[in-house]
Amino acid sequence: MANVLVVDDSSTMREIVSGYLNKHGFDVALATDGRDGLVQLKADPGIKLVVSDINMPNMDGLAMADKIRNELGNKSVHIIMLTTEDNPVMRERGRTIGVTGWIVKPFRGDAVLGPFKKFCGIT
Amino acid sequence: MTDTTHLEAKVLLLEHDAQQCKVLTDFCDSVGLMPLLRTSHDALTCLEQHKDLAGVLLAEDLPCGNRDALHLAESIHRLRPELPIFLRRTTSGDLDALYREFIRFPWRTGDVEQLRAGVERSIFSLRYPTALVEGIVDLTLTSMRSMFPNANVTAEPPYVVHDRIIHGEVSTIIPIESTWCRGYMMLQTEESALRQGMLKGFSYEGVGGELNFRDLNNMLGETTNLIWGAFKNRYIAPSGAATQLAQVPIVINHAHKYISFGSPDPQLCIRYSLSESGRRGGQPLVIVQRFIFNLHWSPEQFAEYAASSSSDAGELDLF
Repeated sequence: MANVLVVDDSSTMREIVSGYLNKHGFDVALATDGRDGLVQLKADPGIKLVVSDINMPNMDGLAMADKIRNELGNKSVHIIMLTTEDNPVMRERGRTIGVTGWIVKPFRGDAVLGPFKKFCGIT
Repeated sequence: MTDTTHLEAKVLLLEHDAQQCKVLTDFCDSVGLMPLLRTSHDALTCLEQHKDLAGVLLAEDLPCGNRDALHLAESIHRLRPELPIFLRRTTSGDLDALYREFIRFPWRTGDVEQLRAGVERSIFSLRYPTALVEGIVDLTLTSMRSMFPNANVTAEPPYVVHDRIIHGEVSTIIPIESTWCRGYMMLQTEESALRQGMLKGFSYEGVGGELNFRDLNNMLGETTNLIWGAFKNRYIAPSGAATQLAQVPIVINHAHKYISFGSPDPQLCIRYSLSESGRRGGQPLVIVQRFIFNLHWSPEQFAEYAASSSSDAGELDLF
């Protein structure tokens, strides 16, 4: 059972983020786009944190977040957008949907390790 | 008025006259051209070796063995039709129509201003704001250093090119759109060099998988994505960016005849064969058509807005 779901269409980003998180005690599941992310989240009730890109084929990250909150009715999982987007309008859309946080790429593990551990209940 | 950068460009200089050589070298210095001085014998080899040229400066009386400079110009044009040729005239009278087709900028010996106007109109036809050029280098270095944290990443001085030749086998392309620009950004590299860099540990430990060509494509794709995002955040107004649709890099690997639009979904493919009518046998010309709906696909909303029959095509529709 995983506690983090990393959603990114780039295998390189999936490797960078999951490599770092695995090394620091997380159990990571991977998804290649928003559609795949929804499937994975439904299948694994242990996931407490979703780290997702926005610009992806098939279903973007914000659309996935919207479905997690409103279609699945999952209000407890923490959703962090890890994206190149730094647009205030898009951030506001994320906030309205119920996204927990926003990281502008590139990914710096040391900057997020503390909060991520807290979200997943890792001491 | 926006401050623009005077970028440099490389040109092939085919000149034998010492005095003219001095004049042209000084001219190149004054406008930001980097001349590569060659003879008629090694001109075509130089074109092969230096893909990133912006033009050719050629003397009409250049010794060319048993041919002449105009024939050399024709050969240059056949090899690299995108390069403007600036011919220093040493005879009077108009050029033949045949030569005018590919010698776009003839200029009279001594009339450097005529040459300058041609260079400004062709080689430096687009001016780039200094802040933009400096910013692009800055955000690209940041993105590359984040993807390749163990590599020493530096940038050479920016310059302009007129070639249409892809560097290496792996390349990416992504649209860049704003109220002030619409176009594409490309990254291009050699597959073997990228693999070597990864083997030397340029990137994060464990990243790059088995370093097969797909893994390498992905490295360049994600680097493209980071640069694209940083460009958008810095240079596209938030109001404009809000209406933009998502983009993902298109990755091409020529060595493997590979192109990816970032989605594993099936593509709609139709092959068309064109062969000689009335003759059987022989290899047909095959044209392959593909549709890739990787960014959005809602077939339940599919609708047809015009008659499917093509019988109306070309007919006059009077109102």
